[in-house]
Amino acid sequence: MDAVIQRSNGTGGENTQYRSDTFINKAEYRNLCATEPSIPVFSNAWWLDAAAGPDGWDVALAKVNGRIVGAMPFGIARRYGMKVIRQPPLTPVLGPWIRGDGGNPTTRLSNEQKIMQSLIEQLPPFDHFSQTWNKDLSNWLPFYWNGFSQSTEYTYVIPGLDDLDSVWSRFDPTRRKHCRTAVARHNLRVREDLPLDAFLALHKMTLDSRGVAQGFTTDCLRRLDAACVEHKRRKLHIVVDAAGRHCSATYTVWDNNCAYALLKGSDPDMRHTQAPSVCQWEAIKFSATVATKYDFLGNMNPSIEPYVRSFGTEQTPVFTITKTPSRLLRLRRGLISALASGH
Amino acid sequence: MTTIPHTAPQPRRKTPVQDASDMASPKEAYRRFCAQEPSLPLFSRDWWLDAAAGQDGWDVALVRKGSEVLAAMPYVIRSRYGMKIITQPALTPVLGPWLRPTGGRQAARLSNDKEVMQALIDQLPRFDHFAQTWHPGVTNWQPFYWNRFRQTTYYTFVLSELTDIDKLWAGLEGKTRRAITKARKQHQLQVRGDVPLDLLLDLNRKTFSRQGLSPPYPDDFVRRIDAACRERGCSRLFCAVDPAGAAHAACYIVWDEHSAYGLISGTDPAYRGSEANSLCVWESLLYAAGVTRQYNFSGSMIEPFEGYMRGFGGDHVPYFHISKTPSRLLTLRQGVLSLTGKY
Repeated sequence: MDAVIQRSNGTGGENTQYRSDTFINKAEYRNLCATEPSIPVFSNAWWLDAAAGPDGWDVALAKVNGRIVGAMPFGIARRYGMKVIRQPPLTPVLGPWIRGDGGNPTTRLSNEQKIMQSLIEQLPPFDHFSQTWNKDLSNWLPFYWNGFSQSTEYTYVIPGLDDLDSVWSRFDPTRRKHCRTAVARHNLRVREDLPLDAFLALHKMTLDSRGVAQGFTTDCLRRLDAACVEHKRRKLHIVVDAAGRHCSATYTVWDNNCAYALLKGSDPDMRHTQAPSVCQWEAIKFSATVATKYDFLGNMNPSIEPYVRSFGTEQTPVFTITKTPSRLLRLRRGLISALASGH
Repeated sequence: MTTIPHTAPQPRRKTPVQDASDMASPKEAYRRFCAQEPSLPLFSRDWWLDAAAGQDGWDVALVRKGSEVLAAMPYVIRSRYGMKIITQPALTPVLGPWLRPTGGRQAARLSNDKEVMQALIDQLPRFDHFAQTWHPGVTNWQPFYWNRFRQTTYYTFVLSELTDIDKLWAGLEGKTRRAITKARKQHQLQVRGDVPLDLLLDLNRKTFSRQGLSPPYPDDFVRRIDAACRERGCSRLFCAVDPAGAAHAACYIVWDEHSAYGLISGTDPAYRGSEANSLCVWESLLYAAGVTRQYNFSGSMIEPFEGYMRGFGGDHVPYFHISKTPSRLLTLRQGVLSLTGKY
């Protein structure tokens, strides 16, 4: 890690070197993404181009004999002259990708750690690093050895989508009842042909009712949506009532391994119709046609967690990895947490 | 209890109150519970805490329903500079909540976790700093997150199945197998269990001083723990001795019904080449196979040590470190220290 910290005081020459490396790395990574189905959707070059902009992300690559064995894409931003590695908008998880080469668990672990070490050494200089990893990653030791910190949060996952009957039977009885009776009682139907704007309107209602701001620009979502449509990686479900009123929506994206509840939205006035449950079940049923798992992407919010749990989900740990080499930012963080402390 | 040194806290508590568990103080009820509940890790048991923290040095949060204990969280509390610190005693790798298994669906389990963990948290005394490392069996810390605790993930290696010795041997990395063979054949080392504890203390001190450190616990502390364990027949020392009678290395394990734990080890730097250390650990594994189900290396996050432990072919098992610092003063101190440190 010392190497990385020292490089932040590096000369212009090194920067130029870094820029050309970046260019070559990204080109190689684009090729890898095009041929390697195990790369998660959020880590894909086309996703990052859309979500972060072509200059808003970069990638560290680890190679053995010219073959890429590990890759770690990351979002880059400049804030107040500080260089920050962070999650691009609308990109819930990233993290190192390690080529699965078989071998016994001990050998795999040892290889994985070597690859991670080499990825860390290739990170550019930064003042702050924060990345949430996809749920398949459960070892952060090499990052610990390099001075990073880690914390565990949870996401909720429905496994075994190939057996929908069993998925359904694991729902809470009330959840099942809502999904079963709401359609007839409130004359609901699910539409898949409505435009993104219809979704955005519902998403905004949810945010407004919770009093939170939208964490991304609408342009960014439009860009991402176009990319997802082009790569056939997204589905929009919107529940409407008999009067044609839009009640609830889910925005699902997927890769070969898993489908993700990227975004949701509901009209708070229509909640009594149980449209969110209906919409959710529809998204899960659809996901079963493209993936084996459905990931709710969170939630650590104590008031939402029981809802997510009621779909028979499994609590699954997700790592957030951070490091703040900048003394100024550490001081700021220290002061903020001291002020927030209890006594 | 034969050999408790005079520095030990005076054994033993007064006879427990005759009946009515509801009437008993949490600590008294917990003492009775410890005697009955084999799934309680030994580091959480009353006698261990008596030995490690003194009879008045620990307490317990207890959730009961009638006479049944639903959850327990023993903790060690100390005063330092007028601050109340909840912490882990030396040689106590894990300590934290125990929850009665609920069975059934995960959703129900999570809901139970939420309820009983909250009840445990509510019973903690006021503290300025809290730090505990939990048993790997506890995988949900979300209720603590909701109470503004923090978490990070450590790793240990665990051999989860000791019954098949041939399989254990085959699971070793080549370098570890060669080391054990070399110790036996080339150096003619024999592993003995009948050596005095002082030999281990001496070797352990040598190991620390080779790194310019001294052991983080006094000899008497180890003697106290050892006496308590020997009284219950749940500890053993393994010492590799050469034909001339010189002790090369030693290791010390303790166990409960579920797992053995590697607790202390030491090598004489003069004999490092004899690989006595690997032989001792191997013999301790064989012994553990006869008395319990698993072997936990009580993991180290230190890089060279991790490679050594990995050689024994165990599973890489995560466990949680949980902390909270409500004190503004201490938070500020941590902030200032982080400025002077590397990260």
